[in-house]
Amino acid sequence: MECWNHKIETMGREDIERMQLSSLKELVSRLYDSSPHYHSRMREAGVLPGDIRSLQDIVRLPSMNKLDLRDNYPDKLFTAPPEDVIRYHVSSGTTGKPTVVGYTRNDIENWSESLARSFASFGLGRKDVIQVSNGYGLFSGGLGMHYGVEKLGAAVVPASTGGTKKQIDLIKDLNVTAIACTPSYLVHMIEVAEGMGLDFRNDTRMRAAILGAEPWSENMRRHIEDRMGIKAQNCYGASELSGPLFTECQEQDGIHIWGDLCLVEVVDPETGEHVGDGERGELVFTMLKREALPIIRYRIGDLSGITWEKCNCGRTHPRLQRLTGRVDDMIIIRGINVFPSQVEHVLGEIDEVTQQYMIVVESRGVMDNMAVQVELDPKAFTDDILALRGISSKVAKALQEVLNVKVDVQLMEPGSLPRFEGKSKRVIDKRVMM
Amino acid sequence: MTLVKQLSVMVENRVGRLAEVTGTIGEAGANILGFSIAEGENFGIVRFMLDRTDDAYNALKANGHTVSCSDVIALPIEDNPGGLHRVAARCAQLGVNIVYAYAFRKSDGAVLVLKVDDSARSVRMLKADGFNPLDVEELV
Ligand SMILES: [Zn+2]
Repeated sequence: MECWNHKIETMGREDIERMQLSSLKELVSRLYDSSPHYHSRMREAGVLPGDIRSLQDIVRLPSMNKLDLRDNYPDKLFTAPPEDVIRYHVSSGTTGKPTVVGYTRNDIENWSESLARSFASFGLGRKDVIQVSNGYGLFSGGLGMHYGVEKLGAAVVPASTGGTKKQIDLIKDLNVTAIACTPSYLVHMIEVAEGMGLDFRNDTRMRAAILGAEPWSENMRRHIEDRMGIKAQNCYGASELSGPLFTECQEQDGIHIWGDLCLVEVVDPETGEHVGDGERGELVFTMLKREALPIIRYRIGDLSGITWEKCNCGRTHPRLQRLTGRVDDMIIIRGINVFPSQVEHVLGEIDEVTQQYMIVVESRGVMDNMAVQVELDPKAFTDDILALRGISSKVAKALQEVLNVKVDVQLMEPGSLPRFEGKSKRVIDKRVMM
Repeated sequence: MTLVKQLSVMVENRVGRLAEVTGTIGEAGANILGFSIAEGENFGIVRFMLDRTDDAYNALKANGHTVSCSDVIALPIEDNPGGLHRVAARCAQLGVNIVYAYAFRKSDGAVLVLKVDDSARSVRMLKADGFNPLDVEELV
């Protein structure tokens, strides 16, 4: 195993947690002293820096979310002196004001360190040529990856977005070995390359892709890996946390979250209490070393679970499981939390249907009824109504197993459901709420 | 063996969708000899007996319709009271299980279209019993 930072990446859980506690104490003291906002939040919560004696005490600290950043636009939450801020990234919210994230030199350094470790964890190194096809600019995805690649010592091709044919030419001509972009862009690139008569497997040196910034399925991973002959690595991050930060290692069995830089909690989205080890819930991030914009107990809205089980790669840091959705998308059916992403995942595993679907929730008497309308795969269409009914039952059974809720499945003509550009609205809730 | 090809099209329950299907078939120059509609919750299956099945199939595919082709039996029936009954009763006696059926008239009589469980066996039984399943040329 080639580690970027062997000592840190393989230290025992106790040692990691000791580092986390000492960083947390330091962070909280600093915030209490230098952030008027956080000072008053702590006073309201009745907690003083001295109250943080163990990692468990973190639950006493107030949490924050996107609204805190938005309400304190542009830089009211910053704690570094303005002259120490060396970069800004700005994410445009779909509603309201944008969010501004500032970085000190150390913030950029830790961000790049996190990515360099991640890149090395699936075998990238100084000899690689990495094309960054994330957008450069206010969006943190392009420059973040760029600095990570430079930190690694590999060569970076700052392609940014667009000009797909030119990007493909560059991959070939500059012997590019890995690419960072969104999964959907890479799928598009595969199609364009095929149109150009180029086969990534034989005509290029590509061996890896770092993919994130949007949800994607295992099916999509298989598609990309087969068509390109590469390893497609899932990447996690968010602009509030810096940008893209963590990826899977070569085992592709969860995303290593570097514990010395970031402390992640998993809480029940309703109660805010910690869930058991390995259970799923809402992710809460504390960036232990951030200077310009402190992020402490940040409820990011993503749902997943983490495991501390030692990875087969030998790294000891906790691993983030696949995301199962967003807290905002959650629907509650008969007291059970259901996420559209779970539905999408199940549909992705069944050949006879597509991933074009709608969820319709209605009150039926006193009970909620959930229907999933899903477009049939045209290849599965048959004149035999019983066979079609068999497909609906198969989908219903698979959904019920995963969701623990009875689901009516309605097959739909391919192409008949609404298509969404950008954020999709796949849930129609017709229930009358009291 | 005398089987004829029939096209089945999945049609969303939406005003105008059926017209899009029949329009495509017409533009392909295929004549609809007979058809039936089976209705479901959110879609129907429209089954067509056509003179130029391949042309219609290709045109429907090209226009993004969901279509499949299947084998059915077309039996001439007497166009008078009891005509259908005589065939249905005989099928029951022969153990031919009918999945669905529809009928249409042509210039020289009526035609019963049958979808059966085991087409090969059913055709054999019907022929042995004196029936004359039609081929596509005889239908037009
Ligand atoms: Zn690992």
